[in-house]
Amino acid sequence: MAGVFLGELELYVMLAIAHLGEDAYGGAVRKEIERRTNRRTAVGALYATLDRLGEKGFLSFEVPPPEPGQRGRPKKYCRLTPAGEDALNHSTTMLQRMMDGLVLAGA
Amino acid sequence: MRWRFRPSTEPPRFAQLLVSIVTPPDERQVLLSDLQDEFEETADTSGTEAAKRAYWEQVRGSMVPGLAWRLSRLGRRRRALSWLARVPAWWRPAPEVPTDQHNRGENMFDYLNDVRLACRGLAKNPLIFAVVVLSLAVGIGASTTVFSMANAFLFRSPATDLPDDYVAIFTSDNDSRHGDTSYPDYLDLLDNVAAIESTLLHRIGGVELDDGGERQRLLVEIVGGHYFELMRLPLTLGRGFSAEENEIGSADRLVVLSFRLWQQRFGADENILGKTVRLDGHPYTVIGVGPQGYLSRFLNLRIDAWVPMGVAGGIYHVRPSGLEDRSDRQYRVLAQLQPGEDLATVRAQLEVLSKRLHEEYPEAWTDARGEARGLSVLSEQEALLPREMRAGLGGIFGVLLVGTGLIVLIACSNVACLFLARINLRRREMAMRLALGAGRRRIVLMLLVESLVPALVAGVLGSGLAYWACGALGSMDLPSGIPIPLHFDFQPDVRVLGFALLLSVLTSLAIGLAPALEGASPDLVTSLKADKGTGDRRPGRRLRLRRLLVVVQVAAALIFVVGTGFMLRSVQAASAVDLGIDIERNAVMARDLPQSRFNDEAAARYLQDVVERLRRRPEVEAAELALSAELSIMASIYEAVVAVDGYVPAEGESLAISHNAVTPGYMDMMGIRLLRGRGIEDRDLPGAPLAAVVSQAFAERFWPGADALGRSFQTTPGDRPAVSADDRVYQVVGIADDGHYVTLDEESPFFWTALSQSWGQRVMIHVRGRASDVEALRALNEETSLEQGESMWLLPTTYSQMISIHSMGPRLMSRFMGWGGLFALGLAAMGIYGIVSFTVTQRTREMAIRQALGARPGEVLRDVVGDGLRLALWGLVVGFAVALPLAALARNDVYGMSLLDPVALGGSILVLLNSAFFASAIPARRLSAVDPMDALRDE
Repeated sequence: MAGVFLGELELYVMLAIAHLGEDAYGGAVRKEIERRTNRRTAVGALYATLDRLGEKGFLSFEVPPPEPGQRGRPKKYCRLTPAGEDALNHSTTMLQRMMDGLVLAGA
Repeated sequence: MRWRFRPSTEPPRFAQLLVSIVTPPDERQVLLSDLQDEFEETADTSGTEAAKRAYWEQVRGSMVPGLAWRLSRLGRRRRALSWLARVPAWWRPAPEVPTDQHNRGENMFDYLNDVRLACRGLAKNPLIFAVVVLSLAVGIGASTTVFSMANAFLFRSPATDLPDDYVAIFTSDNDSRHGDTSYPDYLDLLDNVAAIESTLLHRIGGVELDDGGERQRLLVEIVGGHYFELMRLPLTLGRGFSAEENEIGSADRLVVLSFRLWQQRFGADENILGKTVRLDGHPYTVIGVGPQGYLSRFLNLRIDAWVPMGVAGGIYHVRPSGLEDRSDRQYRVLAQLQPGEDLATVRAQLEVLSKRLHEEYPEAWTDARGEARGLSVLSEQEALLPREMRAGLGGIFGVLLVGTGLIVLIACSNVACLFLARINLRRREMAMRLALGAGRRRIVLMLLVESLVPALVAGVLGSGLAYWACGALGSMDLPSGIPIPLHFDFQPDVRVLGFALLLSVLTSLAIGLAPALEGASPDLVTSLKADKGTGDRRPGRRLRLRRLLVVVQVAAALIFVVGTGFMLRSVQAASAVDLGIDIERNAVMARDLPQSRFNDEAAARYLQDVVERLRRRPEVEAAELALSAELSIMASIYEAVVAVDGYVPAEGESLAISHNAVTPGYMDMMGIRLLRGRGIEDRDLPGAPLAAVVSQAFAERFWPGADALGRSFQTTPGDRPAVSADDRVYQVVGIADDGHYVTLDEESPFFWTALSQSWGQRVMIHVRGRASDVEALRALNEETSLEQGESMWLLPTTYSQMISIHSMGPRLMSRFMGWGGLFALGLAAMGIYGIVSFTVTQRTREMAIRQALGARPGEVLRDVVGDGLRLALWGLVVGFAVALPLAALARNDVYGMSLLDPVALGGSILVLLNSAFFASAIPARRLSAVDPMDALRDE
């Protein structure tokens, strides 16, 4: 695991998914990130990141058949795989360690 | 509210499109619906305009990451396949050129890419591609055909392997060192040569298969001795005949069919054994079927069947009387050495035997020059193609290969010209590639691949051509009407295909190397600066190679044209010569009446009846019988050794003289001029003094300065079939004019005797039509049918066709040279056209200025055409320098050919200069049609 580090957006995306649990689909992830960080994420960037994380084996996807009705559009649900959870733990722990005892100006 | 106006709640279309483009197809739907959700939410809370703005913002933000995403996806797929494209280490160039960036990433995809590029480039010019491929294919096809013939005769090992201790035994004399052996001599061999064990003898013959269906001439091997035991043929069905079954005079009529005949004629009938087939009217029992794909060990002939030579009454030319005649030499003898013996022992024993035979049978064992014959032995392997025969064939094929090689060379130089021209047009492309970092090596390779593609296509096409030509040549009937269907097997094997492949690769190098090197070293700056694709500022240097190639083409074309001219003239001269016989309206056939059914008297009566019937037909002017026919192969076969009292032959002088035995009206019908005395008449009957008419040359040779009339001469049978087997004394009753009675080249001494005084089984029926030889031929075909057991020496044929074999060599050669010449001429003309047309493009501006300054169009035209003609003239000079010595060499071989035949020479020059003129005049005309102002503005 030592070699795996997540990029900033990757980290955000995975944390958002962890927060959302069962409800983690593309649009929800974007909103979650925006809600917490006030950062708007472009769909293109988000989906590219999801794809990349899937490629690394950290996420699994599911596209259930769309619900009936006007709002029922196809959604891509994401879930952390065990490897993804490990990687997230690893990354956040490292981040935590790096920040231990650190007081940043303006924080 | 039934209807409410809603401003568009749809996201902007164009934005959707943009997002779609940068998104991988499988993710597009989810992504778009995500955006749609957000759009609708925003529209509900903040209004449509805000939603649209937000949407556009999303799209703008997604473009770059989306594109990167898509590309990374593509790269991922490419990576998954990349192991397929990995170049094997042996193929990868040595990494010694680290600066050449391109080499590091070089993989098979690049070469495949080159091939694809080459195909695309060639497909853009289908006409050029067709010309290139066809001209190369003709050259490769012709060479491959000649090579596969040479291969079949010279290099191919026989289908069946025989042990090393097999030897072939020959009777040798001054005429042939490896001649055939007679049956009585063969019997003596068996008894007297202790070093050999089992033996066999065989010969080739022709019989007619008649089983109710279509009659078919078969090429059979007539075999005796331990043939099947020794040859060890892996028979498909049944067995061969043993030596015991082949007892001379009492053998059963048995036959072993070839695999091919069994398949084609008998439908591969599994139950064929024991059935009977009719050969020459006699029933033969099938006891075996030969091995698949069998070719005779002699010249790779396709044998149709094997028959025993011992059958009662004989078969083909194997006659009971001939089997007792030591002069009837027609068998090839094969033997196996006794264990521990070698060739030298056999040779020594043969020498002793031949000395003894010469003492016991001096007549049969003395050749026409008065020297003793001998017996010689070779190992079987070597006997397949004795050294002198191998050398002769090698020479012929060598000459042919040089000729076809010349065709390939011309085609190559032509294509190289085309490619050089194309490279000139692509100089900017090449410069661009170099500028973008392609190594020169890479470019040379790319251009070589471009020439390899058409060369390989041409190779495949040429091999196909050769395959077809070999089939056609192999089953072509000999033109003289000889009833033996000699079919050769020239079918290409691995060696031939390898040759074609090698030739194609060499060809691609020949056509590609110069353009490739040229293309890889363009002057970067000038080429890029030039505002047009054609912008080569130094045409002189670039053109020099192409001009040289065109000169070579013209020279080669001249060699062919001169050769064709000489050949045609020699054929013409041959047909223009006064032969001394008038055969234009004659047709002939030869019959071999079976002695079992026709005694001499019956045969005479039967043939006389046929002649009478022929004479009664209105279109027949005359019908006669003769033993032989002047100027046919038979004329050189029937020879007798002549002796005249008081005449002492010079050392080594041959006294064998050709002759014919004829009926009274024959010489008249043939237009043979009688000078003095009388011809053969009705009174020359059996019992009367033997009469002979001799030619002037005959008379002058034996009685120089004296009157030959009334003199007598003696004949003994030579080594060839003679009028009679015994010695005879003839009275000269007439003297006839000289003529080309034996060969086209010279007038030979000849004599005629009365057929009724020397009746034989073989007789030719001669018919002269009133209007044409075709009429005479039809009459012959309609009035004669084969009797039971009768075989035909010679199928009905016109006389001129029968003797056409004499001029067959020059005629085939002239046809070959003619086609080659036409081909070369066309290519040379194309070469000149290409050069001149290139010059025209180059010099349009110069010419425009000259015209603007007052030069007349004619002068400009003359300048350009003159350039084309100058090339042709150089080609002529070079061509003559090569052709004349060659012609001098060939002079001995071709009848009537003179070295400096003005018609052939003048004609060749005229044809070539004319083609050169037109080839340069056509593009030059473009020049004079150019408006000077246009041309100047164009620059």
